[in-house]
Amino acid sequence: MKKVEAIIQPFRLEDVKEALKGLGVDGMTVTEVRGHGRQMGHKDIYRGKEYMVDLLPKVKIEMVLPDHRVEEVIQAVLQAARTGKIGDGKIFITEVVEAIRIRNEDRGEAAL
Amino acid sequence: MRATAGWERVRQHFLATGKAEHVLEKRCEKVEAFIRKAFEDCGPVLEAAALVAVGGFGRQELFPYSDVDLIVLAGGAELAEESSAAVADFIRGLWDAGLRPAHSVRTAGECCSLEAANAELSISLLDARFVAGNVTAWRTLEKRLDSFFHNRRQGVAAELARLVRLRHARYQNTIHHLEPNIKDSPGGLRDIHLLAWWEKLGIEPPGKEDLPQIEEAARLAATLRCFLHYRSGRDDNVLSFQAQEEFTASGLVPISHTEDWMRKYFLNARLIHRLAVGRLEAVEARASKLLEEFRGWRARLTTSEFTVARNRVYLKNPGRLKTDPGLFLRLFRFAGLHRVLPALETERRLAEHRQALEDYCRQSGQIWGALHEILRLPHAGFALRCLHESGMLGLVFPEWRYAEGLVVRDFHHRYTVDEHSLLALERLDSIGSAQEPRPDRLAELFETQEDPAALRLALLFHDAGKVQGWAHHPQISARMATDALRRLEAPESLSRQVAFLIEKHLVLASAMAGRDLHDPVTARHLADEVETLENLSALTLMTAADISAVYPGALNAYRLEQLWRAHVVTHAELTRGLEADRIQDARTDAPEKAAFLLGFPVRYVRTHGEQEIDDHVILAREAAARGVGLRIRHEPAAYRLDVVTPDRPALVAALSAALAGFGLHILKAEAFANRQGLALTTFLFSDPSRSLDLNPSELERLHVTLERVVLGKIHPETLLKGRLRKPPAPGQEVRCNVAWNNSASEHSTLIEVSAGGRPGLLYDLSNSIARAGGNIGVVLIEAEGRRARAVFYISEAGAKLSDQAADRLCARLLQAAKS
Repeated sequence: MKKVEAIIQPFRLEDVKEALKGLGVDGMTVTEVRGHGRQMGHKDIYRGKEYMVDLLPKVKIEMVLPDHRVEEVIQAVLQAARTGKIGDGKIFITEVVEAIRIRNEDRGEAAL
Repeated sequence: MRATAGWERVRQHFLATGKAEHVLEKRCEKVEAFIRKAFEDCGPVLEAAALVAVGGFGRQELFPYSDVDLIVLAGGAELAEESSAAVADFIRGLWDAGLRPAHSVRTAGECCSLEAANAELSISLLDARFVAGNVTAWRTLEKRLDSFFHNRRQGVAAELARLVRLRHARYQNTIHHLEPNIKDSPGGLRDIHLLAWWEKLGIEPPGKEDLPQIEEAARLAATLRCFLHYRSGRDDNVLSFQAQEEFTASGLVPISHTEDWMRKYFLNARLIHRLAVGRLEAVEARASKLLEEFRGWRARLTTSEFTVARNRVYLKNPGRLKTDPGLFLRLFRFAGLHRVLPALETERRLAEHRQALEDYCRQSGQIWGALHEILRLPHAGFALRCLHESGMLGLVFPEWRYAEGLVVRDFHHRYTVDEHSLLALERLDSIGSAQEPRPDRLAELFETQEDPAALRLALLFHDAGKVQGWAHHPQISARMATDALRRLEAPESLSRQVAFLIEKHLVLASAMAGRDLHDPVTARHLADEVETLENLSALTLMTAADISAVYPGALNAYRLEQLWRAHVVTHAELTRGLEADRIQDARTDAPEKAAFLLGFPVRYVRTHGEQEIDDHVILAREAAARGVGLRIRHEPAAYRLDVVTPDRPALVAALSAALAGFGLHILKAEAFANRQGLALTTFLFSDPSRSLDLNPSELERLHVTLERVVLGKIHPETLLKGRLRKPPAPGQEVRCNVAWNNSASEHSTLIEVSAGGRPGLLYDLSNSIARAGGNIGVVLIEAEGRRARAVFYISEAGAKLSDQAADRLCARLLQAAKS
C-alpha cells in the first residue's frame, strides 16, 4: 500500500475529485493548507503598497491505495491538476506499513 | 432488566402517546425495585451502608439507556475490604442486568466537602434521595447536607456557575445549533435542571408567568430525549437532521413540519437559556466583588429615559411606552451604544406593550431614522442581537420571523439562519473595532464604508430567503430586504445597495473556492460582478463576516488569504477599469443628459443614482452659463460637494486647497471629465471643528470661495497660508508609498499613493502633478482613519508618462506626501 499526497491549486480540486471518482477512488482526505515551493510566494501591489504573500493557499489530497492503483491515480491527478503554470503543486508517494479500519478492525488492503 | 415484554410495552406506550412521564415513572419504579433488592441481597456485609440515588435517578428522571447515578454511602468511616468487594459484586450485578450504573463510594464527610475538582458531586447531591440500606446513615447524610448547602450555598452556586459557563462555551454559548444536543447545549434539559438547582440553592425562582412555558419546554425536551434514546438504543442526545425528520414523522408532537416544531424547540430553548443565564449572572455578581464594583460604576450611566444597574438597562418610566412607543428603539440604541443588555424586567415591559409597539412599527416611515442610528453604531450587531433576543426584531422587520429558528440542512453551517446572521453582524462589529497600531486589512476596509448601515442590513437579511430553500436564496433574500426597507421608507439608494450586496454575497466566496485567482479572466469576471470599488469593499467585509459565522474558526488563514487574493485582483481590475471603461452609449431619452454622460467612466453611473445624475446635469447647465455649477449638501455623517466646470489643469488641486483652507477634512474625492470637456469633481468631507454646523454664514462663505477658486479669481495657495500642519504624534507616523503602472490604461499612467492623512495632502499631491505638467484624467481618493489612499490616472500631452517621467513624478509625490 502507498500513500499518495497531492498538493494542488484550490480551484483544481473539483476536477481532481471528478477524475478520481472516474477511476473509482472514493476515499480521500482533503485539507486546506498554506505553503510555498521554489517560487517562495509572490509580491502584490495593493493600493500603491507592495506586500509579500509568502504562504500561498493550496489544497492537500491524501489517499492510501493498493500498489497496483498508484500509477493510474498519479496520472489522473497530473492531468486534472495541471495548468502549466508555476504553483501547480506536487505529488508525494510514501510506503504505508498498515491500515486498520476502526469499526471492524479489518487490516491491510481490506481496510482501504 | 434487559429487554423484556414489560419494557417493550413501556416503549410502545410512549410511541403511541408521546408521554415521556410514563416512561420515566415506569423505568424508575422498576429499576429502583431491582436495585433495592440487589443491594439488600448483599447481606450484613453492607448493613452499615446506604444506597443513595443522585443525579437523574435522584430526580426520578431515568431515561431509557441513561446512566443510573448512585452513591454507596459508607456508614462510618471508609468501607472495610470485604464491604468493598461486596459493592463491586453489587455493581457488577447491575451491569450484568443491562443497567449502566455510574457510582461512587463516599462517606458523609466526603459528600459534604466542596472541591473544585469534583464540584459535580456536590451538584448531584442536590437531587439525592434514599433508595436502600441503612436509614440512619442516610438520615445523618441528609442532615449534614442540609447544613452543608445552607452554609456553603454561595460556594456551591459559584462552582455550579463555573461548570455551566464551561458547558455553554462548548456550544459557543448559543442555543441555535442546527443539530442541537438537547441535553447539554444552552437552553437544553440541563438548563431546565439548572433552574431547579438555583431554587434549591436559594436563588430567585422563575416568575409565575414563565412557569407554563418552562413546563412545556420540559415536557417537549423529555419527549425528545426518550425518542432519541429509543431511536438509537443508547444515551444519544444529538437531534440530528435525520432525527428531526423522524421525530416529525413519528406524530409524537401535533406539528407536521420539521421546520415549525424546530422553531418551537428554539423558542422554548431561548426562554430557558435566558432564565438560566439571568440567574447565572446574579450568582457571578455575588461571587465577584470586583465585578460588582464595576457594575456599580455602570450604575452611574443614566439618562432621563434609561438607567443602568447591575450591568442591565432599565426603563425609568416603562409606562411611557404606551404614549411614546419610539422609546423602545431609543432603548436599543442606548443598549448598543454602551454595550449593555436590557434587563429581563425591561424585556417584560416591552412584551407587555407588544401590541402598541407593533402598531407603531407598522406606521411606516416613523422608525427609519431611529433604526438608521442603531445601524450606524460601532456595536450595531450587539444592538440587533438585543432586539432579537427580546423578540422585538420581528416587529421592526416582520420578514425576520422567517429566519428565526430556521434550520437549513447544510453540513457546512452549524447554526440556524437567525443565529448565523447575528453572528455575522457581531463579527463585523469586531472587524470594525480592530485597534491600531496593528490595523487589520479588513478593519481598514471597514473604515472606507461611508454608511455601514447598508452592509449591516445586507448581513441581517442575506440568508432569510433560505426559508424557500437554498436555490435562489440571494434573490429571495434581496426581495425580502427591499420590501422591508420600502415599508420603512428607507432611502432608495440604500435599499438598492442592500439588495445588490445580498444578491452578490456569494460571488467572492465562489471565486475563492472554484476560480483561478491568478487568471485575468477571473479578475474581469469579478470586476463585472461587483461593479465598483465601494461594492468590492462591502462584499469583501460581508464575505469575511459571513464565513466566520458559519462555525468557529471557519475564517482560517487559508480562507482569509483566498478572500484577500480575490479582493486584490478585483481591486486591481476595477482600478484599471476606472480610466478605460468609459460610457460610449448613454441609455437615456434625454439628449442633454446623454451628452453629459458620454465619456464619463462607467463607474460614474454605477456609483450615482438617477436623481444625483439629474442634479449634475443641472449643474452642467449652470457651468455652461456661468463657468461653474456647484452644490454643497449636508449628509448624515459628512458634507458632499459636487462641482461641474470646464476641465482645466490643477482643478482638483485648487478645490482641495480651498477645502483644506477652511479646515475641512477630505474623506473621499473623485474627478473625471466627459467628452464635452466638462469636469465633474465630487468631494466628501468632514468638518472636524464643526464651523459649518455652528455658523450657517460660514457655509455660504465656503460656497462663494469655492466658486471664486474654480473661476480662477483666488489663488488657492493664499487660502492655505497660516494653516498649521500638525506633525503626527510619535509612533503614529504612516509609511508613505507611491507606485506607478503603465499597463493599466491605453492613454494614461496609473499612480497609486498611500500616505498619512492630513489637511492639504490632496492639494500637495495634485499640485505636484500639475507642476510636473501632468494632466489628471481620473482621480479617486479615500481617507481611512489616519491613512489616505489616492489613485491618479495621469497623462502628459495626451499620452502616458515615460518610465523616467513616471519615476520622477513618483519621487516628487513621495516627497509631497511626506512633507
